Amino acid sequence: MELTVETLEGDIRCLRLAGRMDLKGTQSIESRFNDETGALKQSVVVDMAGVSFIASIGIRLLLANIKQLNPAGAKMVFCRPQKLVEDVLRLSGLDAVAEIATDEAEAVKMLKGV
Amino acid sequence: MSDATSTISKSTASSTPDRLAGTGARLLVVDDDCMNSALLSERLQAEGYVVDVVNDGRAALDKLHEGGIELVLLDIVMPDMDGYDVLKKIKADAKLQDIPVIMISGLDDLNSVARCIEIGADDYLPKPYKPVLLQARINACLEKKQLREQEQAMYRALVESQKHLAAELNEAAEYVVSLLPPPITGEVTTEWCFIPSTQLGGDSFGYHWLDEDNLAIYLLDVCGHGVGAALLSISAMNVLRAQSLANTDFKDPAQVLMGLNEAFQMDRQNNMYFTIWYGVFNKKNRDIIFARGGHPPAVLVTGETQETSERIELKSPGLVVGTMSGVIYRSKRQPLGKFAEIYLFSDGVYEISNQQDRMWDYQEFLNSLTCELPEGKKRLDHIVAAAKKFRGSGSFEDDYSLLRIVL
Repeated sequence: MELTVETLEGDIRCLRLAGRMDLKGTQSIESRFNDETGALKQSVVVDMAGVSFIASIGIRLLLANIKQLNPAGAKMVFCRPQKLVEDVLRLSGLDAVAEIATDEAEAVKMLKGV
Repeated sequence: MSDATSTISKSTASSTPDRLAGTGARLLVVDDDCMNSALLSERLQAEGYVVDVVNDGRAALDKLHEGGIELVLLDIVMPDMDGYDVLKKIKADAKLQDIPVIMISGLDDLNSVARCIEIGADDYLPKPYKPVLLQARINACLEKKQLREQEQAMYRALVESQKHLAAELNEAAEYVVSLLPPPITGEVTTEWCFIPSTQLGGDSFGYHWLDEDNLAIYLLDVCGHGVGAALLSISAMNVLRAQSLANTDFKDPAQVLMGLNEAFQMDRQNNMYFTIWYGVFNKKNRDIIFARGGHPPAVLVTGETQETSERIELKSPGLVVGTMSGVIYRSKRQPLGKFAEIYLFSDGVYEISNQQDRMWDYQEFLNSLTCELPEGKKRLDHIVAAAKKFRGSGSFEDDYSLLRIVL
């Protein structure tokens, strides 16, 4: 899997993921993802547009980091997930602890609480 | 595991010599020239070897069969049976073939030496002997033999420990299957299919009467599979079977999920979580109350008759179980028609990829639950066959659990 970090307008950090978030894919980004999200305790947009599949192991990685952010008052917002991936995020109940945005502008708004 | 490890280290230790390679080793000198063999024997004894001497090929084979010889020094040129023939017999004999053989030859006979090396001699020694060369070649051969023996012992230990582990895994897999409830028939009829992706799966499911009116039905799927996932899966299932959550009404699915969520927080469960669908069928009210913890919805097919029945996904919001403490789950109620059957499953039944890396569609799976059945075919057999056909194989990447209950 690929993971790139960018800074969006208003100094908001955005992680772009691409590839299959199965066991192998998730393991390949796990430690960087942890370093760039949960460990920083800062709100972050996670761009899922390039993710074609997510398995339970991928959900575990996302949840483990949301769990670190939320108590610190920070948020993770998912952006532009493909239909299949969005279904799994909602099925797992992840939408109860993190918001899902249809585009970057909406994601930024959600983070700013506008 | 500890048994297997100790077996390996024990055999390694037992085949490690407590003397330098060669010193004290028992050698056999085979030479028809008595002067030569006596001279060689004397030199070798002076170097610390134990030496047996024979003067022809047959006696050499007899001696080797008695056992205890660690290396043979074999003259090529001998009457009756020459060194070449003796060597062939040694290499063709399963009991003798691992004993190293050094050929002894005159300097002018290198062609014969090459032939002998080709059929398995370890080395050769030209006459007249040079003591340094003599000892170096013997020691090299003995060392090689010892290493080979160590390697074989380790290999045997490894095969043994693999067998042992496989047997233990099998036993564990049988235990998991033994916890799954036998199909029942009568006022409620059940059937199921369980195909773990590895020997041990992370899925488990069950159903049991809580009292004379209420039947609990559940299926859970631990993130991942293998031994760790199976252990968590079994622990959670045993809690449900024994109804052993404090202050929990097992007729209330939301309470059950909240209880499980607190009892199985992932930071105390080796970072593993599970998803679950839990429902309670009440036969008097003819309804089902359910809650969902991040699990695919169960699918209900219900109506006045089978022909008029419709397919309903029993969805409710709910996070996967064990990820965050304090999560609230909510129960939902669904009335049942006269005809009702419910399908519980893990995502492994529809997240199936084929060799072209195409995924089976969830919709295709849903359709297989209600499509018209080919004559004489049972519903579950039909669904599993369709999945296998799409996959192009009899095994799946993820655990495959599918439960059908006619209510």
